[in-house]
Amino acid sequence: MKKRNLTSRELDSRIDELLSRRSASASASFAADTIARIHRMPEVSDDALDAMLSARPVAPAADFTRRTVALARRENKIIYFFRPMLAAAASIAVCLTGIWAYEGPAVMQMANAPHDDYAEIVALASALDGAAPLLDGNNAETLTCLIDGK
Amino acid sequence: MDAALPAIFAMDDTLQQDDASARTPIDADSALMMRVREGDEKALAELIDRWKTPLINFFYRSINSYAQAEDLAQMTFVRIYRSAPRYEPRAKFSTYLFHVARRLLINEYRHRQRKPLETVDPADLHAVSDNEEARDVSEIEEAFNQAIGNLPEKHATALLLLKQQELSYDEIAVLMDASVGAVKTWIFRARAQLREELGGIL
Repeated sequence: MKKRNLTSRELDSRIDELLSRRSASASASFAADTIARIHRMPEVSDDALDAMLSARPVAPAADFTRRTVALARRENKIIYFFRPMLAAAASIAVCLTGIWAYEGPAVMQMANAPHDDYAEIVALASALDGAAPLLDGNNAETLTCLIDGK
Repeated sequence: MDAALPAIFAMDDTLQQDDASARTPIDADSALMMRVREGDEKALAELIDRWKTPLINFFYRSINSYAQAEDLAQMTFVRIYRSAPRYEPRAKFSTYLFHVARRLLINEYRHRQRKPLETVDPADLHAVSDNEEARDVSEIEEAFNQAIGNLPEKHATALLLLKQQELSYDEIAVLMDASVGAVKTWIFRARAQLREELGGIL
């Protein structure tokens, strides 16, 4: 096919020409045919539609009520019996996790650290040793008794 | 929550019941629900008896499967029973019931979108019949259910609630959390689409 170099203006006018062309024309009897076709199609009356819509074509099974009550009872039991238990278990788990999160590291730290009581005794003994020369015999004995809890 | 529906129908004394011959005042259902709230299982059974047929048919038309319709109806009653302790008779019971039902239906549609399944309904298997007339009826039913299934959920639900459950436009609007105008538009469009799809059948 031979290529033609068109200017943009020529190209635009060519496109316009092609777009405006009506390659297919309706037959002379198109309108009449369409109307005839519409008439041939049976019209759905509102009454027929309403009759179908308002119909209740299916009936429940004979034991539907019994089964449904049983199901409702069972579901309710699950909700009112097991759910509080699950909720309680969940809250206990949350509490334990919380305790572990906050107390766990502290306990570990205490276990690894030198014993507090020991450090306290050492500090007290040092203080008493330092203070002993300042106390007379009776005071020192009383203080010792108090510390020993006798 | 489900029970917390607007109270615009609290003064409505119109009737709503399974079939026209057994119409009873709105108070009957609410009274039953109040007894259910106290844990009365007989009242629950009575409530189920009154509403099982409309509910199953609502689901059946919406999802075109008897087994799933029955499952959804059961789940609706279970939800109703579960939320009974919080129930306040502020709206007509039917509004409350179908509000719960519609939520389950929407969940079912979402589930189907995630996991599309080709289900064979046992009811369909029983529908095979040598009787020509019965077969025609079954085909019409099938086509009708298909056409309903092709509607958008809102359109189908609004139309079914209006024509099958005989709820008013106002009730449907409350139940579907939409304006009355929107409900009318959905119903108009649903009808138009059904007419188009069922043109050669009905």
